[in-house]
Amino acid sequence: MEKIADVVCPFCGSCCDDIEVTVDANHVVDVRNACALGREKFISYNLERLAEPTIRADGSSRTASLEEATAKAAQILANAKYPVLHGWGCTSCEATAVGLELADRIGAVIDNVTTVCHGPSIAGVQDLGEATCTLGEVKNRADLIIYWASNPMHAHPRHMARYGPFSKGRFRASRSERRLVVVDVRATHTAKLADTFLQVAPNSDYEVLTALRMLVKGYEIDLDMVAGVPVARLEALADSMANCEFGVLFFGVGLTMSAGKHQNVEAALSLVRDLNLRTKFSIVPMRGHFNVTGANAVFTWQTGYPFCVDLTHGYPRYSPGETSIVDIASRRECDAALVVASDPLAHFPSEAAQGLAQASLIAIDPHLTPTTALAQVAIPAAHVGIEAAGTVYRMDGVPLSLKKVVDAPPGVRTDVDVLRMILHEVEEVKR
Amino acid sequence: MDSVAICELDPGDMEEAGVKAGGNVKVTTRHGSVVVKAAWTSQGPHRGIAFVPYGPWASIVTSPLTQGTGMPTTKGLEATIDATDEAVLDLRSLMQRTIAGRQ
Repeated sequence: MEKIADVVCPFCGSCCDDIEVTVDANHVVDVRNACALGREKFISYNLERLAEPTIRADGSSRTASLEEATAKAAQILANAKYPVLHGWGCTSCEATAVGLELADRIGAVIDNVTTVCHGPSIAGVQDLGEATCTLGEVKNRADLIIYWASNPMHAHPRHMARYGPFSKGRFRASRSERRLVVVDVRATHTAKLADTFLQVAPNSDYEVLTALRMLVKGYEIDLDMVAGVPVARLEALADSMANCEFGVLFFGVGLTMSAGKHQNVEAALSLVRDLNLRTKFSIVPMRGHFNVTGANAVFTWQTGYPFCVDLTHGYPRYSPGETSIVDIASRRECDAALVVASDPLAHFPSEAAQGLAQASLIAIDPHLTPTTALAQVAIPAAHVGIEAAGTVYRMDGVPLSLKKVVDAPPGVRTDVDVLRMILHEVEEVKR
Repeated sequence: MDSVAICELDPGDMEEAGVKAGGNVKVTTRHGSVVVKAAWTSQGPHRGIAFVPYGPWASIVTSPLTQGTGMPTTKGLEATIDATDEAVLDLRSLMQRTIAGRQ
C-alpha cells in the first residue's frame, strides 16, 4: 500500500493540491482531503470505462486495434472539408498543445469547452481587461468576498474553505474577519451561509451591477427597487464594497449563460475597475472543468486566441458566433469532428448536438458517454490526473502538475499518445 | 438520472400548478420539451423559477442561439411546466430522440 501526498485534484477549477491518495495493487483505496466530488472521481474513475477502440459503420459497431482506430480517425480528419476539434477542458495542457498542432496541420476549427461556460467572460476581459489576483491573495488578504451567480457549495465545494470566507489566511485568521456576500436568482446553499444575500430577478444581473456602479460613483438611484432588490440594500452593499480593505468578486456562469452574457461580465469588470479607485478589489471567474483555464492558456500561446480558433485559412481567425462550435454545429457546417475529453452530444442544445452527430464524429475519452457511444471512431484514453500526469491551470491561472497515481488499463494510452498517433497518421495520409 | 432528470420547483408554484413532488412534469420552451420528475427545491424560495440541472434532459429545452458570442443560452429561458402522464425517457431513448435520424 502506498500513500501519495500533494496530489492535485482533477475535478473542478479549484484544483486542490493537497489531496492524499492511497493506492493498493494499482487501485485507489482511500482519498483524504478531497471534497465529495473529488473523492468520488478518484474512487469511481474506473466505472463505465470505454474498454477498447471502436469503429462504427453501417449502423453497427465493432472493436478495433488502437492503430486501426487512429488511422481511421486520421483518414476522416485529413479528408474533411471543415473539421472541428473540441473539448480540452478535462485533459492536460500537453494534450491540448498536440490538438492545436493537429488542427493546424489539417486546417480545422479548434474550440474548447470555454465556448459553453466562460466564453463571454473572456470576451468581456478582451474588451475591458481585468483586475485579478491569485486565490492565495484572496485567502491571505480579502475581507470582503462576493460570489455572484455562483454556487460553490455545490460546484466548488472546498473553494470557500481553502481560499474563501472560511480559510485561515495570513492577515485574515477567521470567518469573523471576512464578510461574505452572495448574489443569485435562488437562495442557494452558498447563500444560506452569507452575511448578505441579494436575490435578483432572472436575466437582471446587468441592471443590478450597473446600479452598484452608479452607487459606488456617488450617484443616487431614484427608485425603490432594481431587479427585485431594494435600493437600500444595494446602497449598503456598495458602501461595504467601497470601504473594504481588499474585496474579491467571484462570478459564475449565471452571468454568462443568461441574457446579456458578455455584457453582464463587462458590467462586473467595470464595477471592479471603478472600485479600484476607492480601494483594492479583484475579480475571478469560477472556472468549472479542472483545466479549462489551461486550454485557454495553450490556445492563446499558440494561436493568439483563447477559444473559437479557425485555422482553415492557414492562419488563426477568431470570431465567436462564427467560429464557435455550437454555431458551426447548429448550422450543420462541419463534416467531421474530433472531441477530446468532453461529451457535447449530451450537453449541447439539441440542434447543435444534432449537427455534431451528422458529422463524422471521433471521440477520445476514458468513459462510455453519449458522444463515445455515437462516434464513428471512439478511442479510450487514460484518466488525466489519475492515470496520466500533466500540467493544468487553476481558475486563477496558477499552473500545477497533475500526478499519475495508478496505471491505466492495459492498452489504454494517454490523450497525448493517441493524438500524436493521429497526427502521425495524418502526415502519412497527406504525404 | 435521479440527479439531473428533475425539475426543482418552488412549493408555491407546485401547489398552484397541481404538481406533486416525484410526479412527472413536461418542461417546454420555444426550443423543445422534455419530461422530468418534479422535485421540491432545496434552495428556495424562488417563485416563478424552475431549475433543471445541466445535462442531457436540460439540453433538450435550452437555446442554441448564441447572439454572436458562441455561448448558447441555458439560463433565464421562459418555460411552461405542466403535470403529465408521459414517461421520463432513459438516457439511451433520450439521445436517440435528440439525434433522430441517425442510428
